[in-house]
Amino acid sequence: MKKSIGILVLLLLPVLGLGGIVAKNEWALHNSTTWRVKVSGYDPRSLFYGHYVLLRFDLPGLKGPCAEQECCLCFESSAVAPDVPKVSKRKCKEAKETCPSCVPEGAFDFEGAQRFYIPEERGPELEKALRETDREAWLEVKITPNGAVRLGELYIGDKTWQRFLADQN
Amino acid sequence: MNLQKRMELWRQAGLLDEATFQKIAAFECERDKDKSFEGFFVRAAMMLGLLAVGLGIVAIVAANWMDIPSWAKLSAHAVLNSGFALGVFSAIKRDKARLKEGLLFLLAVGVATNIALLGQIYQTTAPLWQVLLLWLSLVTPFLSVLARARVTVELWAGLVIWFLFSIQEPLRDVLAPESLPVLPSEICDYFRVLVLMLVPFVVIGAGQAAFVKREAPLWSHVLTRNGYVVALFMAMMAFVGWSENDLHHDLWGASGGSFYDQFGVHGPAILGLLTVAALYGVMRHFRMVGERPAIAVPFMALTIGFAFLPALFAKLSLEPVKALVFMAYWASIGWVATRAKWMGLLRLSALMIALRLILVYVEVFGTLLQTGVGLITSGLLLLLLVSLTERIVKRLKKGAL
Repeated sequence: MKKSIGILVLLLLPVLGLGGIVAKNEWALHNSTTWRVKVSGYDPRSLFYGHYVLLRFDLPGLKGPCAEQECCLCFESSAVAPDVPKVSKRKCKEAKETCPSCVPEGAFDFEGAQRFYIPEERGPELEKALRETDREAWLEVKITPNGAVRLGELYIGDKTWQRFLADQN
Repeated sequence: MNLQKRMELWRQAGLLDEATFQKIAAFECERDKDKSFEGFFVRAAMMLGLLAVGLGIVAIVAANWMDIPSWAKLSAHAVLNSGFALGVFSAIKRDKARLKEGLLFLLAVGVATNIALLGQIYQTTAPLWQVLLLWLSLVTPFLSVLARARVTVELWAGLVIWFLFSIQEPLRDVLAPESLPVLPSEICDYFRVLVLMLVPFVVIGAGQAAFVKREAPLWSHVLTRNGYVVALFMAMMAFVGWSENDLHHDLWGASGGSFYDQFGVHGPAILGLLTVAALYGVMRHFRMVGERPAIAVPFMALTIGFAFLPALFAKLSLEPVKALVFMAYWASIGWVATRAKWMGLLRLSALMIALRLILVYVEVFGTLLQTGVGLITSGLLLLLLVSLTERIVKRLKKGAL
C-alpha cells in the first residue's frame, strides 16, 4: 500500500510541479505592474528566429554607469503616458521605496534581444506589417513586486498584433 | 532460417529430445494463432483508426492554436499528463509491462511539451540549461524507479548529457575574469575546458557506480556507453578542429594563445588527469565503482591526453603527422578495447584508422596517378588491418588474449 502511494506520488510529481509553476506565474502576473515599452526589430535584416520575433527595447535610461554599488532600475510614469515608463538608475534601497517598479540591475537583460513567441506561419505576415506600418510597436513588460520581469502582449499602435493583422486583412 | 527448421536441426543433432521438441512446437503454434492474418488485420485497422483520430485532434488544435485560451491549453495538458500518470499506475497494478513503458515514455515527453507550453504562454526566456534542469528534476524520480525500456532510458541519458554541456553557459559567467578577478583569464579559460572535458567521464562514472550497476543494469549500460561515445566525439572534434588554425579560439574558447604559449597544454592535460584520478580514487575508496573497471581509466587518460594534443600543436600544418596522431589515438583505444575484451570498440578503432588511412592519401598526394597509387597502398593496408582485427577478435572470443 505504502509502495503504491509512493509510486503515485512520483508519477504525479511532474503534474503538481508544473501546476506550481503555473500558479507562481499567475500570481506574479496578477501582482505585477504592467508597462508599455517601445520596441524595434533586433536585427533589421530578419526579425524572426524560428517561432520567435526578436525585439529590442527602446529604453534610454539603461545607458550610463551607476554611481551606487547596488544599483536598481527604477520604472516610473513618463510624460508620454502613465503606462510608458521613464527608466533611471538608482540605489536599490531608494528605488524600492520610491519607484512604482524596480528591477535590480543585471536581473533582466533589457539591452539584449527579447524573444516573443508567435506561430511560425504568421511570421512573414507580421514582419511585413511591422515594416510597412508607421505605427509604433510596444511590448508589455510586467514587473512583480520582487523585481522579476515577464513579457506580456505585443502591440502595434493601440492594438494587439493579432487584432492589427486581422483588421488589415 | 525459421524456428521450425532450427528446431529440426537441433533435434537431429541430439540437442532436443522428442518430448521437448513437441512441447516447444505446441507452444509456438499457440503463439502463432495470435499472429494470424485476421488478428493482424483487426489490430492494424484499430491502430489506423486510433491514429486517424489522434492526428485529427492534433490538426484541429493546431489550426486553432492562437484562438484557444491559455487556461484551456494548460488545463488540457495537465489532464493529459495526469492521464498518462494514472495510466502508468493502472498498468503497474494490472502487470502490463509494455503498456507501462509506453505510457512512461509519453509522460516524459508530455512533461517536456508542457514546459515548452509554459514558456510560450508566459513568454519566459529561460536559458536552455534551466529548461533541461527542470525537465530532469521532474522526470528523473519516476523514470529512475519505474522505467526499464531502452528508448526511455536513452532519451533521459541523452538529455542528461545535453544538460551537462549546457551548463557551460552559466559556467562561462561564473568563471569569467570579471567574476574572478584574482585569477588570470587564461586560468578561467582552462577550468572551463576542463569541466567540458570531464562531462563524459562524469556520465561514465555514474553508469559504473556500483549501486546503478546492481539496481538498474540497463541504466548503467546506457550511461556508460553514451559517456564513451561523447568522449570519443569530443576527441574527434579536437582532431577536426586541428585543421583550423584558430583552434585556440574556436575549439577551446580560449581568449588568445598566451596561456598555451607560456605553459603549453601539458599543465592542463596533467591536471585534468590528476583530477580524474583523484575522483576515481575517491569513488574506489567509498566502493562506488567496481573492483576492476578495466577500461574507464586508460580510456580517460588517452582521450584527455590526445584531445589536448591539437591545442599543443595548433599551428602544425603537416597533414601526415596529424593523421599519424589520429591513428595513434585510435590504435591506443583499440589496445584498451582489446584489454577490456570490448570487440565493438576494437572494430570501431580499426574502422577509424582505415578511413583515416584512405583520407591521408587524398590529402597528401595531388595528382590523380599519385592518388591512385596511394589509394592502392591504403586499400592494401586497410585489408591487412581488418584481417588483423578479426584475428584479434577471434582470439578474444576463444579467450586466448
